[in-house]
Amino acid sequence: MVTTDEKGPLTAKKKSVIIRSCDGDEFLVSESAAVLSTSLKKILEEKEDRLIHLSDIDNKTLAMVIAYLSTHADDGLSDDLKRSFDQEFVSGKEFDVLKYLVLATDTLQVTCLCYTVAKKMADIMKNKLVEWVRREFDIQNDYTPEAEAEIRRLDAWAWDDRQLEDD
Amino acid sequence: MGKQGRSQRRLPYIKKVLYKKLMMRGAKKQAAERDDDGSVDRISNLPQHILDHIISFLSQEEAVQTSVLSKSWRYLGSTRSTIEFIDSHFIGKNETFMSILDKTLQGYHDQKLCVQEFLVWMSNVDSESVLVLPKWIPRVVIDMGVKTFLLHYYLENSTYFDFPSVVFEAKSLEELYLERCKLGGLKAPDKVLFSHLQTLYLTRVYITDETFQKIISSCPLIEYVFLFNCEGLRTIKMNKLHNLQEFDFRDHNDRSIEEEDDRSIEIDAPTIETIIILGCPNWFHHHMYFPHLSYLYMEKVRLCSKSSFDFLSCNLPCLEDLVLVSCYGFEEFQLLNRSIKRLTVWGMEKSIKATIDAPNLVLFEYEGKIPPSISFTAITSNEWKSKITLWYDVDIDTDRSSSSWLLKLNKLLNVVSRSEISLSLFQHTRTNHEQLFENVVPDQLVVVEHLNFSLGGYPCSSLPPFLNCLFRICRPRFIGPYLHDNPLIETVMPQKNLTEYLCKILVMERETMHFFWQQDLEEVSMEASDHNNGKEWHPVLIQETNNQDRPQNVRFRLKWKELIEMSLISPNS
Repeated sequence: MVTTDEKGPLTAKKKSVIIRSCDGDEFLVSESAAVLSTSLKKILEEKEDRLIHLSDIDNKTLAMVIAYLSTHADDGLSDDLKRSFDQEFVSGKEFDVLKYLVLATDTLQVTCLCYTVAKKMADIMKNKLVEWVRREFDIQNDYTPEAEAEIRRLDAWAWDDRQLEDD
Repeated sequence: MGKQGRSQRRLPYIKKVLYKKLMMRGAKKQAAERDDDGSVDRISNLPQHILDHIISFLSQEEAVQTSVLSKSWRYLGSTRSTIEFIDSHFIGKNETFMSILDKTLQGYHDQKLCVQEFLVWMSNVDSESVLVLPKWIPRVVIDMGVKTFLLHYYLENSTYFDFPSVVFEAKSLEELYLERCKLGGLKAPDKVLFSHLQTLYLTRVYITDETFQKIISSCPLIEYVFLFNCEGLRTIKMNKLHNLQEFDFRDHNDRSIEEEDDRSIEIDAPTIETIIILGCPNWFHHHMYFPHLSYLYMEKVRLCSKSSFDFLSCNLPCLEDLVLVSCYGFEEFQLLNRSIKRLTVWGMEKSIKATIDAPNLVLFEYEGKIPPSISFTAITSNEWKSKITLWYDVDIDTDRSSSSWLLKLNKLLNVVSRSEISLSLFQHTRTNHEQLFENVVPDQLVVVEHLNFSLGGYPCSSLPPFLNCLFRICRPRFIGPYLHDNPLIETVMPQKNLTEYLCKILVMERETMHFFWQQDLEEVSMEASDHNNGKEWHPVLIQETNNQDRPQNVRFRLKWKELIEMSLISPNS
């Protein structure tokens, strides 16, 4: 009972921000969550606007970023819980989803999430053959076979007979 | 109303100024996405700084390999902002670790590239090729503007790597990790320009008090300081630091407690959240006020109210964990703290007295030889746990000590009787003091949730007197051999025999054995756990298993008559 009474007025005072995605949908976010993004923080410091339009971030990506921000703004959650949330957050996500997330977090300057997502993307590439990476990400090999062989020869030290996965 | 109108009018302006860049990036992205044959490259069109970020997580080899993906990847890996070399990767290769490191750094130098992270692990290098380090370290830390510098230098039969003192002029440095280095000479450096340094992590580094002091006083932004087994440090002063969050000092060198030891640590940092001190006897602090300290760990620290620590006068309004391991110099301590949640006292050789006024405690852990004399006041938390581990090391010949040991344990259990008790006992000496307790009238019987024990290599025949003693003071809901995490100990002291014998006493030959507690015991059932952590238990039928195929981790669930309810309701009456 006491805690609710104490929390009541505070919650009422908590400011909210409306963030609109490029699809036009609007998301209500607490200011404490929004300011975890350095870009949003700057906007909120400079302007009194409570409506922020993000012309480069779609609904799906924005919803994910906001879920992340809200979780990290929750003082009631321990750091351990937040860390496991982060792991859960990126696990099993498609590469393209991660790509839009990393672009969004870069734009919004959410350093921690940008780090987690970029690391996850690197993990997908780790221990894979070049051929696998090309195929997986549709990278067009525009080298001639001779040119490619020459590059491999120049950095011979980086290539070895380690067992590399090839799916 | 007016405000709202104004903010709406402003919106196009914000959009224009702040997101012009983004929109342009979006347009470019779409144009670049389509390839000749219509397939969409899913990665190469990411902005270069993001690609750089992604490949910074790859190993140096993998990063370099990306250069053959396509022409747009040609130089990404060899110019990325991270340089990370591990010398053991070069074993059996034509080129040496040092020649490639030299060549790589030359490339960065020629192209005037910046390096954010420079990470080098060395453990197999011959002493001559080490010479490439003094050549490049000044360029890396000064010209290339490195933010994170790590040198892990671990050569067998080798002394410390004499780290170039030019490092003190590395203005851009944010994190410095050094292992097995000598940092600074005997005299403190004239100037230290670590204006951005946030993390200082020194393992087995030789550094003098003067140099360390000079560094610390030149790092206004320092947040984390880790000092592991550093030599040369005797007096550490962490004063007037307004960003320090964590201080971690560990010295594992064995020094006897009696040895005259004047090494000391002084901390005066209002923002500090975590303090870990291991193996430095003296800790001083000026104001006894750490408003943000939540974790305090002290091992082998001399604790006495005069010189070191008085938990009563110390103002720690955010403290959640207090861990005292093998601390000495005190017989009694008082703790008055409203925020503390977990109190751990380990490695107590002597008997101690403690008065604890911690209303929010959820876990009390104690490990020592003698049950401590503790009084708790004002624990309001309904669900708290106590884990008590005792090395049952009683002198066989002195009757008095063994009987008082059991009475002390009885008192302790009564004090914590409102908590969920886990009691672990390790017998170190063979005792047969059953008769001693026939005249001893213990306090109330206490319900113990888990009782685990080890007879420490003594024959199972010492089990009945052991149980007779214990069941005079407590009634466990679960009883079983102590599960060692370490499989090595398990092979030295097999607990399986103990399980068999326990099964015999409690179930199989119950009729033939006459123990005073048998009349109270209503039901015995067996549970097993497949995992060694003992977390998931499932019931097993005692009759179904014979000695051979019985699972290794077994405990017995004991159901006692009425007594349990009695002692639960009025533990201290």
